[in-house]
Amino acid sequence: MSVQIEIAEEYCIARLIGEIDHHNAKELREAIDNAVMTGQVQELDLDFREVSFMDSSGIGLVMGRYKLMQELGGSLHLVNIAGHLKKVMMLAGLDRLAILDKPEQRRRKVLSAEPASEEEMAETRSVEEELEEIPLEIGGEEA
Amino acid sequence: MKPINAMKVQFEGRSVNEAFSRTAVAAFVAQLDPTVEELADIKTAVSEAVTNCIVHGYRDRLGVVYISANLYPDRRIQIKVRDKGCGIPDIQRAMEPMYTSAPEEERAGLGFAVMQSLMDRVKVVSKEGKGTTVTLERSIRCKGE
Repeated sequence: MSVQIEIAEEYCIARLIGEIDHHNAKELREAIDNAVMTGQVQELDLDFREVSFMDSSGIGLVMGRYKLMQELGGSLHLVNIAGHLKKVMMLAGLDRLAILDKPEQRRRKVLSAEPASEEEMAETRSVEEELEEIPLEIGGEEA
Repeated sequence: MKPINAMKVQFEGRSVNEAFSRTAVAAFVAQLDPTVEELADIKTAVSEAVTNCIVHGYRDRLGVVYISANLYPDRRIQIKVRDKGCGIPDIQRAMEPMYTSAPEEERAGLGFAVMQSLMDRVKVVSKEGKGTTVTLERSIRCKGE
């Protein structure tokens, strides 16, 4: 199990790789929290694309980061949740927190954007809405 | 009903063995040719049960975790996960979703809830000071059924 963390300004994406269980959840938690605190992160994305297994320790990990981001006045999103992971997360009711399945592209869009005027903001919003309609691709095939 | 195959495995209750235990059970179940989803369900339930032994059963000491698995002719698998740890004083409470006796570990308290929703049957027998046995049962569907 490992985690790759990228930080750009107040945005952080943590790409989780491998299996999440009780044995390695603590290490992941510490790495992510450390990045969030030192980077003064306001928006945290957890990317599950490379996660091959997860039990309820993963739920604890997500709920803990959700609480942390709430305390910091920030937000948490989970990306690339599929199959077995989705089943376990739904079972825990994580879908009710409205943090699931946010397309990664949307974030990148926001990141690259210059400070925008009101008009541009409106445009960005409509682009975001469009992006949200796109079903999440797991395979990463070229369009 | 007599099992058509059986296995037993025991290991030290170190958290690094959580991955070993679920993989060992999955390898045994593989002879029924389960779907990816069925296998993931079983691995997850075993992982929860073994984690309980380590986190709760042997909270402050190292103990041995015992797993036995039986395959039955009706494609049913029965898995027993046992520890000789502290036991559960109130099983009903322990099985309540979101209840955890170890919040400091950031446990979600969903172990039993996960086992119950992924398995056909979950049985818990526990005696304080003696240990706990969790029995998991799941039928593996015949492909093309």
